[in-house]
Amino acid sequence: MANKNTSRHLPGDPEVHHIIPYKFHIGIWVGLIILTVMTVLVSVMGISLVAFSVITALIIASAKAVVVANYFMHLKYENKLITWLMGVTMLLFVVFIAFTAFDYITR
Amino acid sequence: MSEALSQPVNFFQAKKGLFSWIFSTDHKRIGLLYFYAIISFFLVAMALGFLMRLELIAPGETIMDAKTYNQVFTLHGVIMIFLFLIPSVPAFFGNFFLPIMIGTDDVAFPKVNLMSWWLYVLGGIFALLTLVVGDGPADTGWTFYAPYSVKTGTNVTLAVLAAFILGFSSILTGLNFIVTIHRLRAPGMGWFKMPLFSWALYATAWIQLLATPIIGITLLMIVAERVFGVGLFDPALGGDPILYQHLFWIYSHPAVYIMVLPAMGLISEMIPTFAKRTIFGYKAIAYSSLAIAFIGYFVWGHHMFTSGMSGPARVIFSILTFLVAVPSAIKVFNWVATLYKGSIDVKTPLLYSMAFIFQFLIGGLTGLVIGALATDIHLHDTYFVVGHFHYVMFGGAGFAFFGALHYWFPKIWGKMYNERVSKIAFTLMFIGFNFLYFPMLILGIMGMPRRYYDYLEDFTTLNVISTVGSWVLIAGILLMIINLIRSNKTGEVATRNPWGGTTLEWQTPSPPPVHNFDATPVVPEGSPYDHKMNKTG
Repeated sequence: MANKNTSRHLPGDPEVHHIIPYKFHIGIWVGLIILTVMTVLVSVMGISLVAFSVITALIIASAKAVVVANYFMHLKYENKLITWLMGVTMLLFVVFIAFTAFDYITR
Repeated sequence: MSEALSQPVNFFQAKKGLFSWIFSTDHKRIGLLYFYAIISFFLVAMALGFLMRLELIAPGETIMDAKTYNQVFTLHGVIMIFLFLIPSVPAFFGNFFLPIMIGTDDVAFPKVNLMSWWLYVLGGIFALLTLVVGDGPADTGWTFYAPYSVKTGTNVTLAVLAAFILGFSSILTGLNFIVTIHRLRAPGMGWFKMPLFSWALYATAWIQLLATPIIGITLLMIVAERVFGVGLFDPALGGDPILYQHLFWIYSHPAVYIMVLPAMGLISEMIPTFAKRTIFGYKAIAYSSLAIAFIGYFVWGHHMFTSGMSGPARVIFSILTFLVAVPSAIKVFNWVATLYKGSIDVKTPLLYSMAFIFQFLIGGLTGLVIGALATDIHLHDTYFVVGHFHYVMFGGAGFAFFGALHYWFPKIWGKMYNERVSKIAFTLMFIGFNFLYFPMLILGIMGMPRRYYDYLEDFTTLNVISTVGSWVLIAGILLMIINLIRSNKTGEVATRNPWGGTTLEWQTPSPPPVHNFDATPVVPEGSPYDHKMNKTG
C-alpha cells in the first residue's frame, strides 16, 4: 500500500512507484469475475436483490468500475485532485442521463 | 531583460522544407499549421456567408434556389463551427502560447499534438468532399436534426463523419492541454501564477475532453440510422427525434463555451497589457472560467424549449440558463474595472477587446431574452437567434481572435504590423459587423424566420442594410489580412516585448527559439500582471 506522504504527484517531483504483489491483483481479478457471474445470474435466472434486475446489474457494474479505477488504474494511489476530477466527470455523466430522463418522465 | 546580443535560431529558421512543417512536433509550428488551415477555412465560410447575404438582398430567388441556399448555410455553419471557431483559439493560440506562458518547452504529448492536426486536416477534407461527390453538401443546417438528416438524400453521412473526425482532434488537444497544465508548469508557476489565458484553456480543455465524445456517438447514431435504419430517432420505428436534440445539445451547448471561453482568456491578456495595470479580480476571472465550463453542461435544454420537451424540464433549463450569465458578467465587470484608472494605450488589440466587450454584452443579454421561456416562444427559429449567435460567436470569439492575432503578431512572426492600417481595418469591421447583425435582431422580433432563402416584402429594408453591412465587414477583414501579410514582409523588426506585457512569452525573443526560451524564464513573484514589477517594457 502506498504511503500517504509519497502518493502526491506534484509537478517536478519524481514519479512514485507502487509495488503491489501479483497476488493482490489476482485477488481483485477473481473478485471481478465473481461480480460478473452475479450479473449473469441476475439476468438469466431472474434472481434480483432489489426486485429490479436492471438496477441490480447497474449497481454491480458500478462496483466493478470503482474497483477497476481504484486498483487497476491506480486511482487509489494518485493525488486526491485526480480523484476529484474523476468524481466531477461521473457527476456530469449522471446529470446528462438524469436530466434527459426527467424530460421523458414528465412529458 | 536586455536584448540578447546574439539571437538564437528561431523556430522558423531551425529547419526548412514542407516536411519539416507537416511532420513537426514543435507546438509552435503545429499552432501555425492550424492557423493557416483555420484562416483558409474561415475565408471559404466567409465567402459562403457573403453569398447568403447576397441572396437575401431582395425577396424571392435572387442568386440561388431554396435547396442551394439550404446547402450553403449548412456548409457555412459546419465550417465556421467545426473548422474555424472550435479550433481557432485553443488549437492555434493555445498550442503556440500555452507552453511558453507556463514556462515549458512543449506540450505534454507532442506527437499526439501532431496527430490532432492531421485529424483536423482529414476532417476538413471530408467536409470539402461533400461539395463534389453524390448529391451535394448536406442541407440540414449544422445541427443535423433528425428525422430530416436521416431522410435527406444529400451528403449527410460524409458531413457527419467529418464532424466526428474533427471531434477526435478536439478531444486530443483538450487532453494534451490538461496534462500540460497539470504536469509541465515551470518551477514557481503555481496555479494562481498562471496567466488567465491558461486558466481559460484549462476550463475549455475539460469541455473538449468530456463533452466531445457525446457528439461523436450521436453522429454515429445518425449514420447507423441512415445506413441500417435502426430506428433510434424515427418515431415510425419507435425512436424519438427529441432524443437526438438532447444528445446533440449535451455536446453542442458546452461547445459554445469551447468557442467563447478561450476568447475570454485572450481578452484577459490584452486588457491589462494595454491598461498597464494589474488585472482586477484575478481569482474571480480564473474561477469564473471553471464555473462557466461547469454550469455550461447543464443548460443544453434551452435549445429545445419549443420542440416538445416537458414543461417542468423547460423551467429547470431556463433557471439554469440564467445562472450561467453570472460568471460571464463577473468577467465583464472585472475587465471594465481593470481599465479604470489604467494608463490606457489605445492600440489595435485593445480596440478589438473593447469591441468584444460591447458585442459580447449584446450577445449575452439577447441570450437571456431567448433563455426566458415566454419570450423564446416568440423568438425561437427567428433571425433574433441568428443575430444573438453571431454577436457572441463572431462579435465575441471572432473579434477576440483577430485582436489576439494583432497582439501576438510581433511575437509569432517577429515583425510589427502597420498600426494605422490595422485601425482602419478594425473600424470597417466594427461598423460592418454591427450593420450586418443588429438588423437581424430587429427582423427576428418582427417575426422573420431563419433558414429561408425568401422573405416578406416588409422585411426588405433591414435585409438590405444587413447585406450592405456584410460588404463593409468583408472589406475590413480583407484589409486586415492584407495588412498583416504586408507587415510580415516589410514591417519593423519586433523586440521581445513591444507592448510592455508581463507574462512569460514577452521574456523570450520574437519569434521564439525552438525550445521557447534562451534563458530560464523568471516567474514573477506576485501577480502575473504586475506592471509595477515589469522592467522588460
